Amino acid sequence: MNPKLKRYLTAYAFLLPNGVGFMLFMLLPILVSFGLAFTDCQMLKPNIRFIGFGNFINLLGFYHDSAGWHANDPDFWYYLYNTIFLMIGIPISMAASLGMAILLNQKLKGIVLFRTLFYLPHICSGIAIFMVWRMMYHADVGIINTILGWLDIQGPDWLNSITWAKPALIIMGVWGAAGGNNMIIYLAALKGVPESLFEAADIDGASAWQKFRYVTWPQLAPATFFIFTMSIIGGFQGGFNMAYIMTQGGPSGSTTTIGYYIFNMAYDGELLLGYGSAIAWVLFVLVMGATILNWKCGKSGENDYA
Amino acid sequence: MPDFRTSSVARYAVQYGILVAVSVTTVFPLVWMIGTSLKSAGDPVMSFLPDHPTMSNFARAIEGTSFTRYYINSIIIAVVSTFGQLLTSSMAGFAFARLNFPGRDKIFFAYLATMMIPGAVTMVPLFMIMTAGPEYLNILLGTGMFTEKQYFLNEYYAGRALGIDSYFTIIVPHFFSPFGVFLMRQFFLTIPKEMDEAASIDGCSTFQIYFHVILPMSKPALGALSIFVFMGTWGEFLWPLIMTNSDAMKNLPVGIASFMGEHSTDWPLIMAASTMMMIPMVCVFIAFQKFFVSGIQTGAVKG
Amino acid sequence: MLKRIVCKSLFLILSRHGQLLLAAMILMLAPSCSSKEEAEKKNLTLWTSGDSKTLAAIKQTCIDFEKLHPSIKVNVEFIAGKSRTQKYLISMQAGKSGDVVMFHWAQVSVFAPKKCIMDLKPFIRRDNYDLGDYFPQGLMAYQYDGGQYCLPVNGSTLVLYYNKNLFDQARLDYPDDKWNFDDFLHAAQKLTLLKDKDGRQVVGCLPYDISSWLWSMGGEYADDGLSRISFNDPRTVEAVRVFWNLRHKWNISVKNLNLAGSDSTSLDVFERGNVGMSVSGPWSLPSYSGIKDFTWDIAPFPAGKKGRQTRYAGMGYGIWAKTKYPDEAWELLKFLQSREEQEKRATGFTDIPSRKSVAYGVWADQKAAFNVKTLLESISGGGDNVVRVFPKNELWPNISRYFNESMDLAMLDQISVDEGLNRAQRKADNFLARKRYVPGLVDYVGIALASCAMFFSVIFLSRKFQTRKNEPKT
Repeated sequence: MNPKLKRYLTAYAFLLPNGVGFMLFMLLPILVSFGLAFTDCQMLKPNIRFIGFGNFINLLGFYHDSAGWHANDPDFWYYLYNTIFLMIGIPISMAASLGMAILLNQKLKGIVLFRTLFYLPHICSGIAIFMVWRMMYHADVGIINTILGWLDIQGPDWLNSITWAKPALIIMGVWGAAGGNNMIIYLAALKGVPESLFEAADIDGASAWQKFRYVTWPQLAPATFFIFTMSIIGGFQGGFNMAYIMTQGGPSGSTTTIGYYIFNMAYDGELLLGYGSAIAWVLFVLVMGATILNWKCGKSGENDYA
Repeated sequence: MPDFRTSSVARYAVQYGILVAVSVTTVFPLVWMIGTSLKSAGDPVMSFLPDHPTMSNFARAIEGTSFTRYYINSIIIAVVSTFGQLLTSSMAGFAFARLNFPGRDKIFFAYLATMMIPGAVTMVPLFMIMTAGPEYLNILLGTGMFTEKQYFLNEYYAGRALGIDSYFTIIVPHFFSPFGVFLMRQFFLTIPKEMDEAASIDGCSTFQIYFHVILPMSKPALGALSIFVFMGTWGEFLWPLIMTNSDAMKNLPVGIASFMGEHSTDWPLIMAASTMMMIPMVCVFIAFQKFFVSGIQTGAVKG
Repeated sequence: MLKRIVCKSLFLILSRHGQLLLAAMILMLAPSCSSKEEAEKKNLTLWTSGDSKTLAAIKQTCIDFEKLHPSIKVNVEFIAGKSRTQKYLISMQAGKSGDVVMFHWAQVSVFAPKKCIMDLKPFIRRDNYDLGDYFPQGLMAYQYDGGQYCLPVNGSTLVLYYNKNLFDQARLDYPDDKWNFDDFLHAAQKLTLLKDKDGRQVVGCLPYDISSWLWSMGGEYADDGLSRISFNDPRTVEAVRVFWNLRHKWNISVKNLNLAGSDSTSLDVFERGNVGMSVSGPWSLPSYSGIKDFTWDIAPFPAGKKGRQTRYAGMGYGIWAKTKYPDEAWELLKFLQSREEQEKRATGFTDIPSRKSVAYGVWADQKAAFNVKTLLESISGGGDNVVRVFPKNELWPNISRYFNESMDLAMLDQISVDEGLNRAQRKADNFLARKRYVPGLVDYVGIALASCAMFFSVIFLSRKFQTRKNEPKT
């Protein structure tokens, strides 16, 4: 048999276990939802009608009347703003993860205990944690406002205020994500930095900061790139748990993200599955654009592996 | 006599001090959780420590409900999902990272693209596939096996083979996560190709390269991925909620959610259950974190 | 080469990891042994929720039912309250659902218009089922468009809890059923001046959510057909302004009020003893019964301009429209709702049973430290006491979202009450008036173009991606 063909078949054999399931359980529902985005499908209504770009026009379009231009769906733009605002926490949590990973990379006794403690916020995410943070954010006796009171600052009513609800969620998100999966990826990557490079830097007389900047940071570039891409993808779709369990979309929709908006559209009120799918696909285009942008910028960091 | 250099003692103190300080910030909500789980009925919800500590909440959680069954279900789901995803992801990642075949990049791109669709809209089509699938299979193969209720050792309800209330539908979607494939591929790309070439000079086939050379070197990534998958499947709520009806097939988050009443919430009970839910995750983390402690590529290849 | 592949797969299977995986798959896919033989019986599935005692009682009821009807087997499945709607929606969408399902009162307007639950009127007429024993408010809550879609299991409404110690401290008379809003305001203002025995500021009243106040003061949301939305009707504006004043002008309510309901993490809860009055329903009774520091009792909701109009809350059983055994499901429903079975579940005060005979009988006979009669009178209605539900329309959740968002802003003092209600009215009117989009040739052409664009962009981008691949290093 042709050796090239044999190579291809081997490759497909490796891909097969994952690929078959992927096509069946991931790709197929996505294609179905792509089709639904062009219909007016509603849950539990038997008739589906093809309406072309109607959903997208309702979502993204603008109309003109005597008072000027109005958006067809002003909520969408507001929730998009919410989503992007909440992604401010991404660089902060990445930096925190990196810091934690560096702290945990030392050979101290009992470092295992500290690693576990740092990872704990990620383990117990869930309704318990949301309740704890709600209590901490309480305007009068929550811990955060109490601490601010010691510094003579009048803390705002965090979760009930339009301007402060999102920063409150960002803080909570950074707390939960800092010691989480990103920290583990950074730890694994830090272990992969060869000792020889550090020794060479020591010989050249580099300070700790210079070692970090010129040895560690470039070696971590693939990991950073990976984490950043994942965070962007997750960030656009995220905020759902917080909105669903904790704030129900927040005071007057200020903590509703696009992910929660899609959920509400599809499973609440008018049960517009078609419209929800359209929003999901617009989100997809946005995320794709952001990822490609990130890829172009990260191009320089991905070449050196040895 | 050892020469105590104050600077090294100070250094240790500073290092430990920073670690302890950061730990305090990460741990204090857990103090509330554990404290609440020890509270008795009359204690206020917002305080950190119980006024009247009692262990009865833990007993109540286990006795009154099928808590042990939820636990067993969660363990089965998490363990099998982890193994499955490790296997399929590492194979697919190897294919994307090392092997050349037509359409490789387009398929990988498609993998990445599917991560960008929010799950809410794919839930309904996936649910319909999962529930209609077994029935068609039954018709196709002329048997009733796929939708019948199965019992383990003739006594313990083990759900169906496929469809609603089956382990299959909850576990199998986790095998095919694009995230795992992406992670494995990125990691495999960092392993120098010289290792492959050395192995193939020694006469290894592709599979042997994968199994004997690449896999042992990727322990950090495998360890990390195991932790991710385990944590993810352990705490999953929405999909198991939809797929399970009967009480015996629920996993822990869904089971604990049923402790919450319509209007009032029995916080000590829920916190006790949540605390018990956390224990295996901590154990898995401690067990697996040594994988990405061991170094790789230590001088195996002179660069 | 085939031999190679086979050998490799065998190698994989027989390796340690492979064995584990194989064992797991076997465990998963075919746990073997036999499955119980259930072919002749008719299988009914009951979807219900409740606490563990109720669930045990329901399971026993189903066993008794099976004894009476040997050809029917009932499978009880417990669906937790959270995310119940999503689960029902997705299950019914895929064509699988329980036969007898427990519904929340607000879900009737979601499922009935989509013909997912059966109208029970034909069954009621055929069997001459006596509806007279039910509280009429309970039945009303589950009616939609002339049909009766569920039979109520339990129902309750809002009442006023008051702290006797604080009332004594302020030297006020206890509330009674002649109380109207002015009495209420007077008492609340006096209470707010106090400090309780721990030195904390007393809160006059926790008013729960806005709907009861809005209705009692003469306001209206909308009619059932949503043909006329009265958000900015002058009477509604006035009613909402009263609610707003509770918090801002007269300062008798807490600042960080969660509009939709009582905040479960709020510190100013009735149990702590620094709240004079609290509007809530019987679901708070389990936590209030643990109060030891002060005595309390129940009074009816204060009557407003339009009398006492409070919001209903409760659950009911309905039958899924696509069930295979409608008659058997109706039998099960009747059995669950029969007087004897309700009496077995009538323990505790969290809900009021839906049958008058049970509520006034076994349920009311339970020992209580408070005035049970008030609870019963609140749900029985009559005269100026009306128990209401939200407009019964499938679009109501969308409309109410606009209302709630504007009210959030108004309660947070970001906009005035008038402006908030005007905004809500405008958004609701726009929502109802929007037109349906009809596709034309442009759309079909556009879709074809867009698909080509996506296809080519995928190829183009993956090619770009390819150039950054890991080239072999020399």
